[in-house]
Amino acid sequence: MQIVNYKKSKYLSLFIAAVLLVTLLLSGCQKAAINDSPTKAIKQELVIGEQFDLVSYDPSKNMSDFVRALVFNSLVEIDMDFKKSPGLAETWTMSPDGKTWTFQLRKNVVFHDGTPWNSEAAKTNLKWLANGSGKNTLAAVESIETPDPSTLIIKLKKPVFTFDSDLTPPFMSMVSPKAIDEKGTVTAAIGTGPFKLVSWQKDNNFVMERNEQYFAGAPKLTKLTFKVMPDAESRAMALEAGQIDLMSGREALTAVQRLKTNPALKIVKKMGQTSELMFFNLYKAPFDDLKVRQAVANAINLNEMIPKLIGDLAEPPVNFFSTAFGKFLNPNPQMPKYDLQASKALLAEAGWKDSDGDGILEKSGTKLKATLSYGSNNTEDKLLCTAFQGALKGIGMEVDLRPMDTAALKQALEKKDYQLIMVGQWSVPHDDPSMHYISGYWHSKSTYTIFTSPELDSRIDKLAASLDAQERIKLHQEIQAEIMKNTPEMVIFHRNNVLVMKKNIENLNPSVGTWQIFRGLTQAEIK
Amino acid sequence: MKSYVFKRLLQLIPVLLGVSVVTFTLIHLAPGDPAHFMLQKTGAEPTKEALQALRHEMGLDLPIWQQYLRWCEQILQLNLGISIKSGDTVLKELLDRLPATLELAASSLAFVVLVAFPLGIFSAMYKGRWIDQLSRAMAIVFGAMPRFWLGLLFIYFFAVKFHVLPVAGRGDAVHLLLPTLTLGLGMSANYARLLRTSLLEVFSQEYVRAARARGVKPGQLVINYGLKNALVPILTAFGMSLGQLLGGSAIIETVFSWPGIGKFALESIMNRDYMVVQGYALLMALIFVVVNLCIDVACMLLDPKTKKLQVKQAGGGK
Amino acid sequence: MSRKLWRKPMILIGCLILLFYMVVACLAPALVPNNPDEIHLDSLFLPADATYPLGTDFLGRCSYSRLIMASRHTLGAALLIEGIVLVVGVTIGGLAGYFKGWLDKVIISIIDILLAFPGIILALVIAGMLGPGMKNLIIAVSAVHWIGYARIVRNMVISVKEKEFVTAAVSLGSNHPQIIFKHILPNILPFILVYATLNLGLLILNIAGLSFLGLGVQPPTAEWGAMLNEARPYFRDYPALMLLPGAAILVIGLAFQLIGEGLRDILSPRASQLGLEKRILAELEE
Repeated sequence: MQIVNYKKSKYLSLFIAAVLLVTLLLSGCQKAAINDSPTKAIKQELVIGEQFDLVSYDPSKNMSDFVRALVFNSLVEIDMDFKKSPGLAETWTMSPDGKTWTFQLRKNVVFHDGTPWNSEAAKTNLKWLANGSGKNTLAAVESIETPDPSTLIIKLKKPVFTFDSDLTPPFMSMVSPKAIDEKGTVTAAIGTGPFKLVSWQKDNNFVMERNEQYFAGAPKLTKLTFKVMPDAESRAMALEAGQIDLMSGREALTAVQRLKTNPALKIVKKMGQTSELMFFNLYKAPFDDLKVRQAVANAINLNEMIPKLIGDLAEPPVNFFSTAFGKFLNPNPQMPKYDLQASKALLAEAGWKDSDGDGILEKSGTKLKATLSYGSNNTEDKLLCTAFQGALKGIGMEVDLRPMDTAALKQALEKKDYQLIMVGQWSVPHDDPSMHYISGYWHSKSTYTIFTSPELDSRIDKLAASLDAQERIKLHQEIQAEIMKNTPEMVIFHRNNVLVMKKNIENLNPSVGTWQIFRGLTQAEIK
Repeated sequence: MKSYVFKRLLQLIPVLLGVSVVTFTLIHLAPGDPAHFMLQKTGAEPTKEALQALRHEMGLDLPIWQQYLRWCEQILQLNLGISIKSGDTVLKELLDRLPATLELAASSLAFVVLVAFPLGIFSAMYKGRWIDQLSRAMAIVFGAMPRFWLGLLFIYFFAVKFHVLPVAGRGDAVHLLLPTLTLGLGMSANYARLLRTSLLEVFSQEYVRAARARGVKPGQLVINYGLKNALVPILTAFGMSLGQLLGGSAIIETVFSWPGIGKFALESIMNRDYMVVQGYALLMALIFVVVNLCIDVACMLLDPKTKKLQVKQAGGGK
Repeated sequence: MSRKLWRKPMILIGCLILLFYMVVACLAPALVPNNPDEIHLDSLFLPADATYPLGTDFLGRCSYSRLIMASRHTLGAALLIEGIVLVVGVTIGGLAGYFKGWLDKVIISIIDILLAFPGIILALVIAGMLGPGMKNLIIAVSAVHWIGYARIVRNMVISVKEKEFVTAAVSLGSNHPQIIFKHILPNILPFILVYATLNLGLLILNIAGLSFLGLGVQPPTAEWGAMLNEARPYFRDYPALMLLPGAAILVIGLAFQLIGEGLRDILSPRASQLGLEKRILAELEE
């Protein structure tokens, strides 16, 4: 009987422990409910719902693009309005032959760990980058000289007229030399930027505090807490419920529309620098035929689809690049017009007919079929591709969708293993878009070579060697016209950068550069 | 007793070996070249020479069986490889996220125990009455419901409609509530039914009926005879549903943006972060196998029949 | 026994629901008022009206038509997988149980190894590594579900083979095919069919789960799990897009649960008689 009693008490204690646990859980609920009431004083602290985690401390590799600009600076930067501006270098000059670049570095700047910023630190960083992510960009560097702590002289093997612009991408961030170990691994996110990274819980949150010594003046906000919320709807809901103060509108299809009508919130948007593109594979049937490509371009009504399906997050295409590239754009772009009759006529001219009456066209026994590859993680592209599939069925083309992850998508692009492929334009910031033609898509030596011709090659080569600003602009416009004449791609939309926030946040604007969408937090304050 | 555990441990070796072969093959089923992906992550466009060099470095140019042996050697040194996305070691990435998953699993289990025991006991004591019907209905409904959908429903009603609970993420105890309910409700109904069945079995035994005739109270019957006997089937069932708890939590973690190992694995699957997927599959299989081994041993200790047998055998040995 | 089956209201209701789903799936093309894949950009997110009985979705497609049409793809996939695993599982399990010896040992150790992975995780990894698409989803789910069949069939064959009528047939000189098809298969078939029916419910849930993660059928094909996946970005504003396909899965799941529960009521009192029912039920508990 004693044994039984003992056992009984064991179960009893278990039960009591369980009851305690429930009470704890419930009391947790109540506490949170009380905390939610808006009685707190105006603290300059923000909670931000963010799609991507930090991933790592290394700004040159895989640290989330979107927050690098808050922690780090580079020698030359792109400002909020997409203009080249001084970063950790105050001024710089190019020698007339384009081979020697002299940078005057900002004085009295220290990294978050107290290490001074000087020409030696810059040299360490550039050497480290030249062996890593900056391999391509810094390939032309012959020597780096540091005559005094605030002067940096870089000598190049060949003239590079855009060398200063080449230093602006976020992966060219300057890291405290003490935070880079002998293997080249970054052990902590220590930069010179307006905010210091103070903590990071993987996949959950990361916290920044303001850098009181920031060279451009300490930000008004004292603390930023980024909550990692990959799902756009979750972010939107958390914002409505008051659990976060700010979110970016990335991939939040209907949410932004809804949040617009919420009186407690406001949204700000700015045209970004990236566009969404759909490429045709010109090396395979049926898109080796210009008429078929034009037929597709005429069959898709982007002016209707984009506002209806993507809302505020994007604008229908107006030019080869987004308007952020201003002067480099062709003033009279030949954009395809939605015209179903013309589209059908083009296909008929190209010899495609529906001979068996199943709604799909044929030509010498082959059905008009195509695959459309897109990034499976991209909600907007998925939605649009489904809509394209419907639209193209209307002209008798059957489209199979091929969702793939980003890496597989790039591999398909490189190996030309696609018929139609939808990709986001490169987001590497550059105020002069010449890289887009050369290393990107339009030169016979490019990685992805979508379309090429001898004239195009010679113009692009000329652009790469040109020093005359006027000539450069003219070449840009000619290149764009030459490409668009051949319809190797469709510009699908130009992406807006959207921020949605509580009404009491002031002076917060998105930047043109998608990658530094949160940069405006440096000026923002809570009222 | 010791010899039994030892024997079971020995049996584990071929199973784990097989598990490693299966995991290795699975990853090599995937189309695409890991070297390509790794170089792409650095931002620079890979040249043919760089690809060759990396393939050589990763041992991808070796015959497949040599690759397997190399990989096994690494695993035995607890080296699960490097995550392509973050550049950190897979082991670290997985261990960093394990606490969140364990937290959710523990709270779900606590919930299951809290709900299933009273529900099961009362269903057995009042067989056929409303509480019995309720537990039955719960088991049927939750057994038929896709769990991620239940999670979405919870989010819609509690977080969106009434704003009483947080939408997603990990934080204080409140954040745990919805994912715990989503994972725990279905399981607790199942366990309640299981408990009820084994309690009823015990109640129908002669000695229990006799005890009842003597005037022992029903509550005491449950505690003295019922639970003791019910523990073995419940533990066994737990071993089986652990798989559901581990695997199912991957989807639930995704629905609730819970920063655990399951969500991480799903993201890695979508991003083709091979090493992570490999490490994850291996780790899950290991946990599953080891926990089930422990349960088997515990069952043997608990079950009077097997125990007697053991004692007899031990006695005979002397 | 069959008469007793129908007297159980739970089994009756479950079967009626199933029948209803089957009829809907078969007649789907005749039942839909609109083309389920046709996109109407000028009528996004419409509420229910005369043209669109359940309104329209995020591409202006008729929700009702999609919901009905999806029954074909979801049930079709489930039945196809069921067929695959039935053939594979019964063959492998049967061979192992019948011939025993080294073959049995090999098969059992393969099964043991595969069982060391939690089933859902195995399916996820296979589907994920092969890439999104219906074909790959079918491969992944089949690769996991045949294991249960093989194990249960093997055990049943072993216990039936020890029965007198089989040993008698062996001593009378019957050859293997005769024994297998005349004596063993008829004895275990009813149980396999019961198991298969109940397993269908589980299959539908598994398919839905993987499709929800975007690993299943691709647009524009309507399938309940895929519809849930597509509706996810909109479910805050238009919950019906998520509620309807989920409810469709829930109700057919309920049908299988009811049938299972009814069978449990019938089978469990006699569970000790053959030992097989109990094994089936234990398997399903998983």
